[in-house]
Amino acid sequence: MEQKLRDDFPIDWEEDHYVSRREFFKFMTLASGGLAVGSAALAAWHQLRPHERLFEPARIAAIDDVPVGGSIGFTYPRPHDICILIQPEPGQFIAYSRRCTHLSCPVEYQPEKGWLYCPCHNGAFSAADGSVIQGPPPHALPKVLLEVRGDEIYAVGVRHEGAA
Amino acid sequence: MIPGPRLARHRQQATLFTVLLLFNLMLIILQIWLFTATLENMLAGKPAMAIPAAAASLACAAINVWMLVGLYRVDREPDTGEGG
Repeated sequence: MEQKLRDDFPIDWEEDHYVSRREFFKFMTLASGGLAVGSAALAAWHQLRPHERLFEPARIAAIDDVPVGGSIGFTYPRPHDICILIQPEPGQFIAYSRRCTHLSCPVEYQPEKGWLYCPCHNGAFSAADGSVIQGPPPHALPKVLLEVRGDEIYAVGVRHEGAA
Repeated sequence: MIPGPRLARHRQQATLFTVLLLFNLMLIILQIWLFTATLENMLAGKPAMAIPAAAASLACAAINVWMLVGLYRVDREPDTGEGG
């Protein structure tokens, strides 16, 4: 009976296995395409996302409040976003987020070395552009965009310099 | 029953198929590694490898598609009865 069944309904097992493996190959190729699209989307997102965000302008201080070679702290744009405004040269104002990009310890300005220093893990950032000079921070400090209106300094936005 | 020459051709196709499938899997593992490495670097603020990784991943996908098309082409070839 079984032999008759086999004769009447022969199954080409070689062909059957081959077809299911081919379907698997097709599925894996589809997965490969998906991964490629995902990688391309990551690259596109990096290229297209805005590195600079403007917020509601907020007054930081009067020009005379910031000592040359000194700094003052402020918060921007949210009350818990601590920032630091420095004046390395007379009339030159630069502001950064004060959170170290490593583990968020507050950095402090050291004018004699021209850097913003993180005492937690000896990280340091250039006072000129916020880039990493030493230590474990993975990328530069976000820069706070400033505007001088009359004799007052306003924060108007934040630029993330971590992008290449 | 499958005639002898056709069976031999099937076996030849199966061997070719296994080699291509292994290569396909290798490329996919490479793509997964590229994707996770890119994501990890981007989250760490180092996105420089995003574009080269995307290009490499697209190249891997193109090779996989090319292999799949090749497989279908081999399948469509008529049996000559010589058995390879």
